[in-house]
Amino acid sequence: MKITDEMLYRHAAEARDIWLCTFPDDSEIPEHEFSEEFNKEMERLVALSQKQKKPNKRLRRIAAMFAVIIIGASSFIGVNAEARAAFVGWIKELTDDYLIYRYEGTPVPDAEPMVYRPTWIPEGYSEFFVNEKTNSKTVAYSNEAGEMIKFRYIHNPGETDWFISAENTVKESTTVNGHKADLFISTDPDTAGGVIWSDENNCAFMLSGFLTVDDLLKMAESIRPVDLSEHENSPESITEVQYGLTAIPEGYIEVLTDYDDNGGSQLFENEAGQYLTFLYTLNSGDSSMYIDTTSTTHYQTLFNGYAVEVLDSDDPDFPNSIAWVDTENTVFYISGYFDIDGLFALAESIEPVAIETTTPDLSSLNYRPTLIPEGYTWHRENDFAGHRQIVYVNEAGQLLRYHYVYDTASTAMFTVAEGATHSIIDINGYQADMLLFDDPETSNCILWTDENNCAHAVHAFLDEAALIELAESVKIVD
Amino acid sequence: MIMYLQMLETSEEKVRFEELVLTYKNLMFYVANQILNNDYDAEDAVQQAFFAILKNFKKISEIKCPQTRSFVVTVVERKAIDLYRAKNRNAVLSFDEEYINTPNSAEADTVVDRTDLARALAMLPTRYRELLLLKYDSGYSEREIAVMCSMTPANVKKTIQRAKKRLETLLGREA
Repeated sequence: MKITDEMLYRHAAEARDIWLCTFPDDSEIPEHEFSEEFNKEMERLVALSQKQKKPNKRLRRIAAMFAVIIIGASSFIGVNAEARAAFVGWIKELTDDYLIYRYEGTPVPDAEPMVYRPTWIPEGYSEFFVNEKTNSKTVAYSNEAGEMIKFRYIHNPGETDWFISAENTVKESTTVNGHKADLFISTDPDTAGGVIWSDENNCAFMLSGFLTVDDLLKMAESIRPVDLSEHENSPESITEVQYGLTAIPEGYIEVLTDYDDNGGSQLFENEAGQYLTFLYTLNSGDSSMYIDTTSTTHYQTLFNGYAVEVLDSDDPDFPNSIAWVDTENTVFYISGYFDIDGLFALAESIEPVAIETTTPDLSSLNYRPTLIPEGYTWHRENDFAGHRQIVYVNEAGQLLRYHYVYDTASTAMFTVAEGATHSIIDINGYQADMLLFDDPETSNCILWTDENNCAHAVHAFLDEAALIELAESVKIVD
Repeated sequence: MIMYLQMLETSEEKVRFEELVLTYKNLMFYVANQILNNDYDAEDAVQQAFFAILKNFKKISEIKCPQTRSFVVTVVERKAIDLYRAKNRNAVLSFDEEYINTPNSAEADTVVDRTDLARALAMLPTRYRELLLLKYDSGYSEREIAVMCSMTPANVKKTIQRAKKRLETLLGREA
């Protein structure tokens, strides 16, 4: 007897009813008291399901822009250089309102990276934030009044820009320990002063704060290399200073908050499905913020002494936005369905918030695939910016790549999924995404994350079963 | 995840989803716990099932109907089996996974006026029955079923072909 589709369509409902008879009636099933955790999760699922409005074009762009900040790929671009002055490999480009220091020299390969600290800090200030994991190192000090001094240095920079607002400052040339320096003297009580220079070790420094010129230069001149071991970050607890909107308009609820080393974001939504977005990036030297100006009238204005980019939307479906850079090199962006004054009111409400984070050191974890398919041999491996990759190759020249990201705050993992059949599978108890490609030129892949928050990926020209076997063989090895 | 959640486009759908949760969560927990025998794991399976259902929520036209009941039970059953497998990768299965929640012939015979094909389909091994019902009763495409059941579309197609073969064998034997 040949079973046809038509027969199955005709009889499936009957089969379903027979099968459902094996289950008791609802009235016979004992009422289960769901855990608080379950109820919360379901509430979250239902609440999030209220996001009935599809993100408009602008919001999708904001999402993309946020991704760029997280990745922290390149630099500010599009500057019309009006003046150039070089000191030790750094090029200074000047726009109407900003100065950009761009390193264009050749990195010194053998130069030993050093840790720097000021040996003198103004009275009342103490170190409260250190981030020396990223290329651009930051140390911040604060006093009881909440005033901050930010010290930033970068050793042997690659593609790095430092972006400095020259608004409300007067620039003068000076020296710091005999090195040529640019001094920014504030002409506004709400604008910090700063000094920037580089030394013979190919290291560039920036110090900014609400200090007198004398104190600023005294602190700058006190900066010395120090013993690395004395200043390693404690992996257990780092107090980060982040920013948040503190005056949330009525009717908006917070739906997303995210902070990392590079910055943070807050997303709020009202009942009409309109979003209010606040983004900032702390290490703008390592990051980019691309702002879409489509369907907007774009102009600049002043806010608290900062030159603010205003994007006044011409389309009621698009929110208005403002963006600015403060003297500490932090880039801020607010977008929402408010008039420009409303956005400025929100900007006024931005406050630093301290966040206790626990960041276990994952760099020592050595993951490896332990079952390499026959015919493949070790080819190369590299470790860069929290991302480790091991590559194997077979005689046909096909690559088998295993890579994992152990520092998810500083990088991101991308896989092009176009043309792939996607399925969700299980890898050693972790939910994983498998992408199988019809194109024989494209390797199949599996991606997953584990309890250490490491993201893993295997890419290989293997069939489904072999690829799963490879992924499941990934283990922490000595 | 956000992409999936944005699939509920109207507040009416949100209300319907809430209704679905309230209507079936207890049954789903019961089904999951029959397999997992652990409250915490069963709740986990139910959560995962609701998430999978949310992704396909547009296809559910009526909340309280046998078709939807069958669909939610199928999904939670699959999530529970997957979770059981993940947690007992090297252990001997404590239940006959192939025939979990499959009626025996005596149970099937209590349902009168059913065709042989329907009875045979209901008594198929779990995976075969799941896929056939999802495709021929709930109307999901093989691609959608693949995502729902963590399989590749090719695997879904192959399993459905095998299920048909099994039905042919069963019905041929009875004849």
